Amino acid sequence: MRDAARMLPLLGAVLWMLPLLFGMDGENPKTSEAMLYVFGVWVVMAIAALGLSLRLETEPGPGDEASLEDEEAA
Amino acid sequence: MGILNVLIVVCLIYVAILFGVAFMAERAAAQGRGGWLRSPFVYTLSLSIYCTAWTFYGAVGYAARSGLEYLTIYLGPTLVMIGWWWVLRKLVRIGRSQRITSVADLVSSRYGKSNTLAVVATLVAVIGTTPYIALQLQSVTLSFSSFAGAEAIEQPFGDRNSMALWVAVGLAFFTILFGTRNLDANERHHGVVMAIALEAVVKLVALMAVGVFVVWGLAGGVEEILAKIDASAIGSFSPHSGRWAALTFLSAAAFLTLPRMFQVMVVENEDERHLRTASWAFPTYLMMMSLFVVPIAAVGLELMPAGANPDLFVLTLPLSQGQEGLAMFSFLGGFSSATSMVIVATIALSTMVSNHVVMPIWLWSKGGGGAMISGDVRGVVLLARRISMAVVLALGYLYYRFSGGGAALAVIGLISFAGLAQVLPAMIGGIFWRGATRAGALSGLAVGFLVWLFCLLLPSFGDGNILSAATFRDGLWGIGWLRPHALFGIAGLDPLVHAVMWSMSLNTILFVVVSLMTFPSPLERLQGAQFVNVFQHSMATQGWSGGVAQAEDLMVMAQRILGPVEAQEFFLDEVRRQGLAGYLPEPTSEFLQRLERELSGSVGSATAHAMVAQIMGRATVSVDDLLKVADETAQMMEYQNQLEAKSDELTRTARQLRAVNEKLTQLSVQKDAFLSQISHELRTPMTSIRAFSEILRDTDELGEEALRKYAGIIHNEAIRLTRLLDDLLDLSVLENGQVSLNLREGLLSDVIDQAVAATGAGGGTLRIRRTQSGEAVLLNTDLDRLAQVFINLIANAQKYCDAARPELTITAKERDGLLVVDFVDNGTGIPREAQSLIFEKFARVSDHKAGGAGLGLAICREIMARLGGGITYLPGQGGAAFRVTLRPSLRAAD
Repeated sequence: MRDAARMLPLLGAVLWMLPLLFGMDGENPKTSEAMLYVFGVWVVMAIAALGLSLRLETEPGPGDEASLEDEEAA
Repeated sequence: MGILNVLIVVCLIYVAILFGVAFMAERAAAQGRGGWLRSPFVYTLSLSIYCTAWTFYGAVGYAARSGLEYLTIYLGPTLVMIGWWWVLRKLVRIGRSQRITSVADLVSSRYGKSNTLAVVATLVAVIGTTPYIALQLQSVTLSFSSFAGAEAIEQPFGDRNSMALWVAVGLAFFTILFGTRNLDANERHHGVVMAIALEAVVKLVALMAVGVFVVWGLAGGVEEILAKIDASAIGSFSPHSGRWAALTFLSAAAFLTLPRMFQVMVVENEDERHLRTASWAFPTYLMMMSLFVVPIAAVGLELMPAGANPDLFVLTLPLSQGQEGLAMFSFLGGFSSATSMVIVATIALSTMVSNHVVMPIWLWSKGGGGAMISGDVRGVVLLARRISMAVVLALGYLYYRFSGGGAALAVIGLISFAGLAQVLPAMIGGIFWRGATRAGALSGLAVGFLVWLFCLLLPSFGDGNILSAATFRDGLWGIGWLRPHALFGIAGLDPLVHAVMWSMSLNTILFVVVSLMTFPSPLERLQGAQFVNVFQHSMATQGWSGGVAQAEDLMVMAQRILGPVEAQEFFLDEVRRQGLAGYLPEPTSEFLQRLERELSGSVGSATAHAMVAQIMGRATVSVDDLLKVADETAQMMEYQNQLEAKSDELTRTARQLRAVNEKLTQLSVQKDAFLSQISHELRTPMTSIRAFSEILRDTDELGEEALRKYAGIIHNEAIRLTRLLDDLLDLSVLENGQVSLNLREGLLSDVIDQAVAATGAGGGTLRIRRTQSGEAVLLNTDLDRLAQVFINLIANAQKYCDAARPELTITAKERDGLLVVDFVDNGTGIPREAQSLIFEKFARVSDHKAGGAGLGLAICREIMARLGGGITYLPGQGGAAFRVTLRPSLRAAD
């Protein structure tokens, strides 16, 4: 899961660099098509991030909630 | 005039509501009822500070000019956010464990709490943010004038510039009111965060409302709007590939390095787990913000007159359609975007300026005892912050004035991004690479910043304003490869891509190369290890070598910075923790670390470090500290070294054991040899005694003479046997150390006289020559034992000296504090190969001259050892020569 979390931005970067290749055949695509593609990837990314954030195990840091209280009480 | 007043009143009411929300949030937090303040969604919404007036107005303008390229500005942050596991998680953890207060503080703290670096980073942040603030001023001014009409503005304010000035003054006032009401111990501003979250909702809803109105109200549906987009001037998608990639990278970098982003993302972070929620919620927010941008732009291009400023479509489109209410809402959305950015950016910048520039100067100006001087430092800090807020806004206003206020919003924003991104190599390198050094960070940052200044910021003022037209054409000082838009002769690139490429690559290369060439200081290494391995050990290990009771001074200083109540509570708590009574805790190393962290929340790590150092003296980084954070390689090497040391030790022990074993074997052989020797020595006289006693017993007719002769032989042999046994006994007593010395005082000459007399040498064949002068020495030793040694030596000379006229010279002298008595005869001496053996038991130089059992010199050696002196053979004296050395414990010249 952690590896998936690490790979997700790389995947996103690749997917969002793809539009640069759209016009390779000499014919520029329509803006609406490119827009739908970019926003489509965006939605997928957000959903994937949501899925990951729910599945990644929780490990509180030194200053979070429980330990934060100790620290601030101290 | 009327509409302007309405606008101003609306703005004031809106600000009042914001202020009320902030106030309530702060009060709730203070009363401990602020649970809802810590919601991950508040955190996510506060991140929307990224979307400023640039997004609100500028994105539509950008889209109207360059199509979908505006999306890159939001794709970069989205990538950073969904990749939170890489960088953000680490940044937040570091920020919390080290009490980082700003980007400059992060960089300074990482590189050995260097204030120079903090100052440079602050400078970069202030100069880099200036265009950004100008952008907000410009957008607010534009929105005012387009709403109320240019004439309506010019009547009360004179012109647009003074309008912008008033906006700047108002924002400064508002920010100071918001940001410096109190000096938070950990730099968290609950109120501000809450207000920003509210503004985030306002601007999102406003923009979406306009979008919905445009799509369904004006265009008539989704199908229609897509058709309109494709039919508009931006209908064909032809991205500039260099810019697309560069801008995505730039926005991702800026997302991490923008002072205001760092403020909300790291400094104001309540809980690391909020990142988890933000990782998907913030990309969703950005997506919704950018969703309606292209439709608005397309419809605006279609409906608005040709000369209309596309940056203001969000506002002018509803206005032109008679939607006053929607336009007002949209205006508020833009106003929200601008104010929230300005507030947080100025708070972040003023923290940097006051912590890294003003406080060090103030401390320095107060001299050595600055930290203890009376007067509330908090007042100074607050004043410094207020002034820096005003200064930052003034700079923004000046940039607005001098850049002419005419540039498109996106262009200004990108200039700002590129400047601020210069901190990125030092930041990322600092948290992932332990080898990064202060010199590397400093040189990379400085060079990147200068390149940015020359290639992007200064040209943004226009030809001939700061850089002359000749500089653009021919390069700086006429050097062709120093043209601002064609560095090193590479022309034809987009100016932004050109500047980003050169500044970032030179920055990174210098950072890496200088880091590789320089060596980090101990504190840098310690901080570096703590930053890079923050998940392995989140404790602060920087050691103050406390000990001298300076707790009172610390208390005085802490009161000035934290406030009397907070400081006393902090100290009392430490007292309880240490299990002491009273008010002052022991200044232990842990306590000092906690105190320094606490202080750094208020004044930044470099200043806090300097202040504690003023009281405690130099901070020391102990070897233990360094070992604790040594990385795996170092630990492995350490372990390996230990193994090697152990292995060496084992080898050594084995060698010792072998040596001991050998010695034991030798001893056993020696013992056998000794036994056989001794039985031989005993057997010879016994045999002769037995033989002659048999003759006496069995032979009847023995003459008187023969009888006497045989009895004499038996007697002599018995004496020899007795002497041998005596010698053996003597030697064993001496060797076992059981001998009891009979210490007496006497003259050396007397002892020698006694020895000479005992051997009867004086009248015999051996001539004895003595030097009387050296013998007048008073001794305090066992004189009888010493005489025994001398007798032995003289007797040996008598027996073995083979000269025609044997002569023994006895000289006594003092040498190096020792008394040395030499016995030298004129014979042939002892052959070299035998010299090392003569002191061994039963060692006889030759067999042909029968003498003793070969125990004499062995006994002499043992005696001299007991007397604290020694006896050695002295080679090269012409004959046999023995040297007796004595430690004269008591000497007196006669």
